[in-house]
Amino acid sequence: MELNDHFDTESLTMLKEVMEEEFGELIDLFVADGEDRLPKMRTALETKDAANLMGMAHSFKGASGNVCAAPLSALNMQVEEGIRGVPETSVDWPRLADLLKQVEDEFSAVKQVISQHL
Amino acid sequence: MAAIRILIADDNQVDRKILGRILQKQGNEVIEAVNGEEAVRLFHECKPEIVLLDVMMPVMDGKQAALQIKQVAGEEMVPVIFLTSLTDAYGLADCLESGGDDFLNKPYNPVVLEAKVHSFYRMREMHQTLQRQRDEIAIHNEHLMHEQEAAKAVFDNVAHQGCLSADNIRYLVSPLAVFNGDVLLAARQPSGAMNLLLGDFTGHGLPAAIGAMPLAEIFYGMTAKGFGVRDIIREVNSKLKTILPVGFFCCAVMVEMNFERKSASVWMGGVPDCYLFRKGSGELEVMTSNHLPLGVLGDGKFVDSLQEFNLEIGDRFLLWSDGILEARNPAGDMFGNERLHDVITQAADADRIFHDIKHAVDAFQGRAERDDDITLAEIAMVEPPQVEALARSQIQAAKSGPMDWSFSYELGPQSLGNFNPLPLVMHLLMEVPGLKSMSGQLYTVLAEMFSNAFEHGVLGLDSKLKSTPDGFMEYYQQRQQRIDALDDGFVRIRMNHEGNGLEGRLTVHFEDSGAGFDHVAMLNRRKAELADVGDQQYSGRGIPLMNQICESVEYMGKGNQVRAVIHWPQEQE
Repeated sequence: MELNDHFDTESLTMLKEVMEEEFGELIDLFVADGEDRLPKMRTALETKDAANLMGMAHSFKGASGNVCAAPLSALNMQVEEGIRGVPETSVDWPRLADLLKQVEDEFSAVKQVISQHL
Repeated sequence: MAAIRILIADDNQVDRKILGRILQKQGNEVIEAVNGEEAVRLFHECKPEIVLLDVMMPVMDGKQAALQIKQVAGEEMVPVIFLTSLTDAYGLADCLESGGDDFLNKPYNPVVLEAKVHSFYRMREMHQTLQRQRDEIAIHNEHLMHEQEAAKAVFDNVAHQGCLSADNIRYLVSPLAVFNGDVLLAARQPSGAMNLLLGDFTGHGLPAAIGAMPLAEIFYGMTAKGFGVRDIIREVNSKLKTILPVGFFCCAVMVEMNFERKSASVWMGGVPDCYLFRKGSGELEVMTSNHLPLGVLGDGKFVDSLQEFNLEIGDRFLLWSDGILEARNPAGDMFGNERLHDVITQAADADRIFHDIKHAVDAFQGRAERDDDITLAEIAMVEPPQVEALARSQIQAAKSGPMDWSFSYELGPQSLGNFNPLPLVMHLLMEVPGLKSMSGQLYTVLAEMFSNAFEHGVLGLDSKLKSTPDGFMEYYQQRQQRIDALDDGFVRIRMNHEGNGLEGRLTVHFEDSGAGFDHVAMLNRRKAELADVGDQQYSGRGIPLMNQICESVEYMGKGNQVRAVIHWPQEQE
């Protein structure tokens, strides 16, 4: 697995410089946050709690964007936008289920890349 | 640059950690909050200088927090920057509405972040400087107002009302006019004649007001001693020239109204055209400034020549500074000469003119911002004031003051042309308490005697000239010509006083170098007139007041000498 398939490596280098010795801690924090968040997002999907799912996707989008995990951030944005502004009765739940599956898969890949490269 | 204290609020700890780290590395002091509520609390506690807020947060979102923080900050400028993604275009307007100043996009770019923080910090500093300066200006302004009030109080003591409240004067002047540079003064001479001066100093505020003090003091002081417009205007000019800086001067018009003689002398320098309204004919005569303003020329170059007018009862002068011409309406047009002229010529009758002018200017200005520097005065010719009745009780019974004295005072041609001896003479007479209470009458007598000796005796002017308007002008032209050409001649004044403190007798003797006149013939003629038509008509060029006051008036020699005897206390009528 290649780092640059899942991260914007140029920005990542810059982030490493900024965070210095706290970089490792930041990555650990990000992983823990994701592991805590994903099961909650799945529960929200299953109970069709659209508002909650959107909020968590929004937050996850920001955090993954900030650690330069661009594809993961983009997937979260798709989840967020699949709910924002859409009337509750017209939410495309099967599509959201598909997107959440992709978020979970991407997060697994990110974790794997992290353990190998960072 | 000192560390900037920055409050950041983001519920996502990854984001918060990165943002905090970047800001710290850039030398700032960072305070972290996990939601809007904590942000508001920490804002109270830590007084941060800049606030960065995530929009979506649990408990209290960024917009709510921004509203509360801005409210707490009040007048202080605390920049609030919202943290968003480029894609979060939704709700940006809401963010601004809640008081946000800018946005910062995720993921964070340290260079952009640093630039924003610094630019907002500079803006905040500028805002603080502005507020500090605004506060300073407010304090200065308050201080200035206090000073002006104090200065006005001093000025009001110097430039009291004078006789502005006299029946023949109407005027309009703003209470703080002195700080617009406008001055209006009026006072009576001991003889009953009235001096009125309307002045307009250059500039505004204290520099404009400062010259008004000596002006008022000279005006009142000299008027009380019996000086007329010529001497006062020269003295004021000389004083202002000495004390005012270059470029500061006083445009002025001064009128001396002589009610006994029904005449007026006017000096005008630098003021716009004023008018003389003739009540009888309804004619409006334009009076134009023919001198430079006061305080421009040194005493040597100053010209005190006057415009002379003979007047009828009800004739009136209309005087103003340029404020009335420059009054503006809401469209910015000036009131101007033409409108002023129209108002006056269209007035239903003379007594309405002043009121009509005031009304027209008010209507013209409408709701436009008033400059409040309109100064306007009207002074009318009326019957002479009643000679003050003299109560015996006013006379001090004590043997105070000089009783037995005499002097002789001779004026040669140079002095006669330049100098009025009456105030000095009056000053000596006023040392006698019994004479002091009849200063008005005394002045009238002396003025009449001096003017006869000088104008008819030394200068040889014919008093008959003054009986027609043209002759009146001619008279004053000749008078000036002859004064300019005068190289010999004299007026000799001799006075003698005796008394015991309870009563006294003043003998006044005038002698001039003129040819005199046939006084015996005149006396006979008068006796015949008296026998003919009685006492009433006996007032041609004569001076009924003199006979009323003097125990005796007698001509001597070839008619170039006259002696008047005045007894005090005067009998009450």
